[in-house]
Amino acid sequence: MGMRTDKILYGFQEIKRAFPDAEISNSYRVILIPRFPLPSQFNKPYTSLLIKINSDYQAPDAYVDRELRVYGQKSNHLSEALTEDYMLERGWVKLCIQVSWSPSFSLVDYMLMLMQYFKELRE
Amino acid sequence: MKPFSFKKDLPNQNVKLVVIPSDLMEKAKEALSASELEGIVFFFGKYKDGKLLATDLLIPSEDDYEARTWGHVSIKPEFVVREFPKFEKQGKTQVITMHKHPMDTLSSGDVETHMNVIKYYPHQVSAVYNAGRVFFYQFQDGMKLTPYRLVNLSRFDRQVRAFGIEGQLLISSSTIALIGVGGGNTKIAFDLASMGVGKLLLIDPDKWEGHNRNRVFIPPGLVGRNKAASIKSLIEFNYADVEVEAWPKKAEDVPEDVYKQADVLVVGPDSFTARMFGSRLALRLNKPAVFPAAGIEAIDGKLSAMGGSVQVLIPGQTPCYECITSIDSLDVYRETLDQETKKKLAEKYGLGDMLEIPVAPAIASLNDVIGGIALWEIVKLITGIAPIVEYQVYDALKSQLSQIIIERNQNCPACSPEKPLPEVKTKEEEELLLAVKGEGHEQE
Repeated sequence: MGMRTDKILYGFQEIKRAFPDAEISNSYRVILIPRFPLPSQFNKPYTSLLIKINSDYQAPDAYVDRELRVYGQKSNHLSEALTEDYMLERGWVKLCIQVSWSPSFSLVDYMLMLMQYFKELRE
Repeated sequence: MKPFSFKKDLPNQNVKLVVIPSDLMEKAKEALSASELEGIVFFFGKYKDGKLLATDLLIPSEDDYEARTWGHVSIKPEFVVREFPKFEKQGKTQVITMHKHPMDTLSSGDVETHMNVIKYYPHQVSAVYNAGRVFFYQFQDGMKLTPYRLVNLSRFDRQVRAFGIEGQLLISSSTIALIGVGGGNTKIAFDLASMGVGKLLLIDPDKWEGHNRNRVFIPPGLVGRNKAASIKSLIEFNYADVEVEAWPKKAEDVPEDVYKQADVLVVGPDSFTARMFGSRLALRLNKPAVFPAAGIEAIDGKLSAMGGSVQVLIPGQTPCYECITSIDSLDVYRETLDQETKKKLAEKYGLGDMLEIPVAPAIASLNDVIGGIALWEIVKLITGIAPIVEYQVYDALKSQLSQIIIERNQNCPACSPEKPLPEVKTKEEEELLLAVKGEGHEQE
């Protein structure tokens, strides 16, 4: 088992403590959190959150439910334009979040960034 | 003469550096130069962390030689039996032999003697003195040249009285990497130079600004110049015996081989990400690190809090930086997003200056106290003169210094011992990708 896989699995274990329903794919490339809590500006209290881990442990990508709205409107930051067709077809939209990622970060760091981002998303 | 052949099972020696006071070396050379014939002298001292530290010199008298010609020398056994235990009783259990020799390399006879002596003095090195030059050799699958450093102790008289010659030799042969050369670490750098540290590695991409001069002693002409490069020039001008390397780069962009030279890392920046980098670097390279931190809170010019902390990390023994620090994602945003992105996000979400790194108050006295505490921990790490304190907190408003007991976080993402990975149930990737529309994951 490579160092990268170790890191992903340790990160996944940490995520699972906070979100016991979290699941990981057998490729270790995809993590699903079925009930990720959202702040009040969203039209739903929870979303499914999908984290795709990129090769060489570069910055992950995050996808949420395509039906999410912010203050009742479609958000430019849930970008259908940036989402791959096969993901759109499956009901996902990519989160447009720019982070300066370091491979030394853990997946928990990424989750914290996402939480902060959702908290501050206003349109 | 039959050449000496090494037995295959001999253990290699591990002397990374021989450190000798320059006045002792001068006396040794003088003694060996006094005769046309070969001669020998002995340095005694200690071995610590790969360094062989010579603190005493033993010069045999003419009567102590068993034989002495222009190409051969031997000492009477009774001299060894009489004199060597005197040093051993003082804890100076290591020996360096140095003999005058008509060439720069050891003869077969010298090598044979060396191999016999290391049975009793495992860190012994053999030196030859030829025409003013000195070469030290140790056994590492054959006789290999060993680097040495001469230390002029004259300006350290007051320190030698405190730490002994051995302590000063350890300081003078140490390399300290300072990550960040701001208000706090600059003072530490100047003080380490005064104390005669062997080498400083200064790492900082930033330039001095006028407002730094309230707490750092830098001439006005250095404003606008890189911090690391300018402090290098100031130290080199004032202390020629201190070697300085300046790296005007972000800590993460400096080659790891640079850090490998260091005996101690001093991680100074206020930036969370730089501290995290420093901590992980120390763990990766298995090097001790010191984290000085200072902070002031003031509202409308009225102080509400002022103080700082100094943490010492010894990999495998003490908690690391991340064991006791929680990640503040806002700090990560502030430190990692580029200015353009910050501006865009601030405009779009009406964040104002929330993503900007706030300009913190800073005064010299706080940096002096925290720098002083950190310096003392560095000296303790180098010399072993007293036990280190893992974590101490200074409250400037109460003038109170407290030792805080900290514990390793068993789940620390950086240093927790590797546990066997628990069984993880996995699913087909496609199954997870379909989850958002799947029956089990309906939104509420």
